[in-house]
Amino acid sequence: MRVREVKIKELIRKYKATNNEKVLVEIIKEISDMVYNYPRVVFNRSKDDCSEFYIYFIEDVKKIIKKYNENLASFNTWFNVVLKSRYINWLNKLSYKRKKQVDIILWEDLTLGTDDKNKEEKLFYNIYLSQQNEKYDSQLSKKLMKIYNKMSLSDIILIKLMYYPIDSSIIEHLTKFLNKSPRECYEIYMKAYKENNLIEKQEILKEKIVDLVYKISKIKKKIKYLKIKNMKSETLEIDKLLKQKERAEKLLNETRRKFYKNLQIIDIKGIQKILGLSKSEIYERVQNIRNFLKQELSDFVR
Amino acid sequence: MKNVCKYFDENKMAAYIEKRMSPEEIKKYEKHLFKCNYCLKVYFNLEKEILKLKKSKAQSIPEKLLKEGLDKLMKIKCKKITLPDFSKVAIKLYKKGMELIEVANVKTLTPVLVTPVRGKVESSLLKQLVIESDIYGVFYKLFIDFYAQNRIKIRVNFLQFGDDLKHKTIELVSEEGKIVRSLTNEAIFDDLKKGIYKIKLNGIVLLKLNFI
Repeated sequence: MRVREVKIKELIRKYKATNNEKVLVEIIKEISDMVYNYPRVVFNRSKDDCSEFYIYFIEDVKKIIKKYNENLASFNTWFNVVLKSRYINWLNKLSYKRKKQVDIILWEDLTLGTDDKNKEEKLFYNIYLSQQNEKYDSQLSKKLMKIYNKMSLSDIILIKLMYYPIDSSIIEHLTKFLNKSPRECYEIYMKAYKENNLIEKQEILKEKIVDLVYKISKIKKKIKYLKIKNMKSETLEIDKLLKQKERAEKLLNETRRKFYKNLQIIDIKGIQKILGLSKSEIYERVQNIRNFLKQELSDFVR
Repeated sequence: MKNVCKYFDENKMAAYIEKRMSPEEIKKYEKHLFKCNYCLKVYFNLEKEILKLKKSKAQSIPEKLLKEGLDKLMKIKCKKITLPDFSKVAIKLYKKGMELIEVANVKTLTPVLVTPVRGKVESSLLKQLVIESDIYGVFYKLFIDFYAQNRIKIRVNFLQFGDDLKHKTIELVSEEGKIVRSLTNEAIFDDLKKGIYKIKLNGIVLLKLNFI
């Protein structure tokens, strides 16, 4: 899937020179398939999401198109960069509220101890959350800073490689640890990275969790309302709703489990290559870090 | 993580991917790229994603969605049409329902006044509209919406002026002769009266601003 390079360049030149609406419409028609398909092909998003993203993108298309400088890069490469950045902005904008909610839900998983399975993973995930958002839990953030100071660089790298999506701090740590340039470290990281859109799959799982939590709370409200009405004819309806609630709760627990199970971003082989450790050494170290974190964070985790 | 990066430049990132930079430029660019979470997030896995997209087959965009996108774009265009830069005090008016108009300074984009409009704009005809402000407004958004509902072409004449600069008045006249009043000031009027302005949507003249 590519936009026709020669044609689109000609259209953009024409549009920049004349500001003609008809040319703009032609440009839009030319790029529409690519914009529409982008979330589906690259990030496994649904058709509904594709439509939503398309409308979001098209709102700014005029401004976007005018930014293209054909002397610097081919249209298709440039357009891919544009799509990716817009996609990230779209996710940030539209799902900000949802993300915040899901973070709270997952935080509750940890602090309320709703499910003992994957407890360490929950811990690591919440440590990641607290680092991403200072306001999220400043107490935990402060404590983490102290904990990190007690940990060796290779242990910090190990945890970050295993559980955190890439950020500049990982590259920075790797640069120090491997004594290589940031570019080389990035390439090393990329080689180890699982190529299965894991991060995006996790995002979709998070959205599913929020949807299910909403659904359950809606059913609960409905049941409460029917119980207040206290009519015999409503009993059947309440039974139906209770079954729905049960199904949704079961699905919610499964989704949560799936989410924590897939938390590991880079597999052991990848980490072995980066840190130069054997498999058993890595497992041993992870276990030690887990114990250490549990001990240090005992106030936070039940 | 910051949501956006003010140094993010799609052209530069594309040039970096295509290796169309000098070694010095690459060095400078990488210094930022690997230290900035936003740029790194965009760049992360991008080369593989480009290949993936290139190899994949496109599903045609639904006609309805394409039309919806184009319609939305045209609407935005209306909203964003700016009349000639009247004066240094440029103002935007946003319609809030049909009763409230927010006046904002375009330069700073900060609302400077929130003004209730006395008298509703009814669906069948334009009633008197008074904006309690010494700052003029751009009315086209309000009336384009009005036009869209009622298919009335509106001519806006700026006719009457009082003595007090703060209470200069404008008459807004629909083609059916209904008069709507508002307020402006002289400096703006001087700029406005230089010509007739048209607001177009899909090539159709929605609104003529005839400044006499």
